[in-house]
Amino acid sequence: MPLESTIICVDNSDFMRDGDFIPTRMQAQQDAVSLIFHAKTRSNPENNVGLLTLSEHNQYYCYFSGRVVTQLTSDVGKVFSKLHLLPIEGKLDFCKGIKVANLALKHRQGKNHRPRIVVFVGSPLEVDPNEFTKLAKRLKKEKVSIDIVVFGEESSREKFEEFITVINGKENTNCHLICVPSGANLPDTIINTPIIQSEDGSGLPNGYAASAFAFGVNPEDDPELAMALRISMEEQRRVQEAEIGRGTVGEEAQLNPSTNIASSVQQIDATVNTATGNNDMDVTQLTEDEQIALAIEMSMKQAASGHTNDVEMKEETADSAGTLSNIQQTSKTNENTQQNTDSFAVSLNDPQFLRDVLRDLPGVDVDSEAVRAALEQVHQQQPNKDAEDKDDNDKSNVTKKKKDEK
Amino acid sequence: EKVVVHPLVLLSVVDHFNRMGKIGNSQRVVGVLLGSLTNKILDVSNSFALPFDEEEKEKDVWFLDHEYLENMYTMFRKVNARERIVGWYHTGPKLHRNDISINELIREYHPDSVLVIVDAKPKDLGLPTEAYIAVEEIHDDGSPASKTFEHLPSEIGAEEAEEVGVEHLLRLVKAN
Repeated sequence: MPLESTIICVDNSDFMRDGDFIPTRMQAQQDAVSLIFHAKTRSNPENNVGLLTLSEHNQYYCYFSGRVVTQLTSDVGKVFSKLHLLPIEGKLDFCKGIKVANLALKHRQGKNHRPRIVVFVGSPLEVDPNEFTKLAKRLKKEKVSIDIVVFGEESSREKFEEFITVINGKENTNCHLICVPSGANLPDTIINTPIIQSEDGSGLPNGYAASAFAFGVNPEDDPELAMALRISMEEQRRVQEAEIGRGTVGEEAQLNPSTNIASSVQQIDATVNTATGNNDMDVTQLTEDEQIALAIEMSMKQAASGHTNDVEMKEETADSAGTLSNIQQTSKTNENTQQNTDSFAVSLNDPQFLRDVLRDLPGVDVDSEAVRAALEQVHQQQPNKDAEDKDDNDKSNVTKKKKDEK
Repeated sequence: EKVVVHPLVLLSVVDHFNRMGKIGNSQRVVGVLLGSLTNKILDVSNSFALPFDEEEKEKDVWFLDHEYLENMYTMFRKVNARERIVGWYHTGPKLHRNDISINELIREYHPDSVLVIVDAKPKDLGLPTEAYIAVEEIHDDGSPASKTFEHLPSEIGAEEAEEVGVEHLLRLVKAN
């Protein structure tokens, strides 16, 4: 999660009125911009994003292209309010826009942030090739990374490819070129590209579906439903991936519960991501509820030796602060053992484990009636871990409870 | 209209210029002028500096931090509500091509924005300031109207309190 200051350059030339992207190119661009904004701020809350227009803004006949609309900020509201008010006019002036973005990045407040420019280009490029290469070399010298998203316009593709190769040079300074053909869904296409996914593959955080109407549900209108749908999709996916098999995690250093949660999270991040390859989602970025669901699912997969591991994990987590590290360590210990079961909610068989999990849940009183009743249910119906009938009930109880707590 | 520039403004501008000079930036500096307009006389009583950058070779490429401008102005308003943004300054020493477009940006804050060029390193005796205001010029040959700067008379003036301060400064300077 590197510290980054990003300037997003929006193409607001007349070509943006085109309707080949739904509903218009401009709108698709706006969606994509908000996507990138969220991705950057979630990956690191100290990241800053600014906005800049690339095309000329005719006011009293003086050309105003490359106007910085919003300075580098982490405030969502500022960027969005200006974004939606952008007029569509003029012609693209790529080089000038990039140069102004460069200047703006030079004056950024976070001097230790890595500068990055994300450019959207949706109109034909008219540029002097010499100037173009000079610009690329300059950006490379100043170590500014640049991502170019070309959408709806194929003519300038080779020029941009050259641009990117010049900038990347011998070592890959992670500059990318993404071409989106007409008619595709711009935000969706970008999600799978390296623009959103940072180098360690942390990927898109939850809470934001690619297109606003994923699963037929708008995440803004009904975030809980959207999240529930997303969880079940991911469970499916995880079940499938579990069958592919997991590599062992190289031994995790004993996590000292008193260390900074952030560093332990990062450590786990690294191992989880490198080792499994299943986790294409950054565990830290799931909400707590989803983490619990994820953890339960993972522990369910390791049928047999569940108890001892749970006991260890319990002791480790006894004095760790917060659900976060609890879940992290659960997933960690689960990863260490290689188990492949498909049955769900085996871990709920262990009442102690369940109690622990519930205790750490915010807002759940372990001694409350409902919880006790549920735990008794777990006690009762099984002497043996393999009884699964009521487990599903429990699971739905627990999930229902969790949903109630929200 | 006449523009009256107070000595505090001159001092601030020169100080700004020297500050930037110390860190090796010998380009021009840009800032905002604050003051009030009464009876067609523009009183420029205060000023502050702005982060500004422009490309050496390509004067069309420039960057001015307008969010900084707004934040700073809000803070100045708390100190003295009567001081409004009346224009901007730069240290020239001459007019530049992109002054019109920079003026357009300042005009969003005050429609009759005035540009004062303060020469921080004057060679000859005389007023170090030159004031301009943007006007639309209609060409005779029918081409679209463009903006240019028109010269305004300017002078240095001060209130009594400021005069006392200036006198003290002069005494010190003469003594050295």
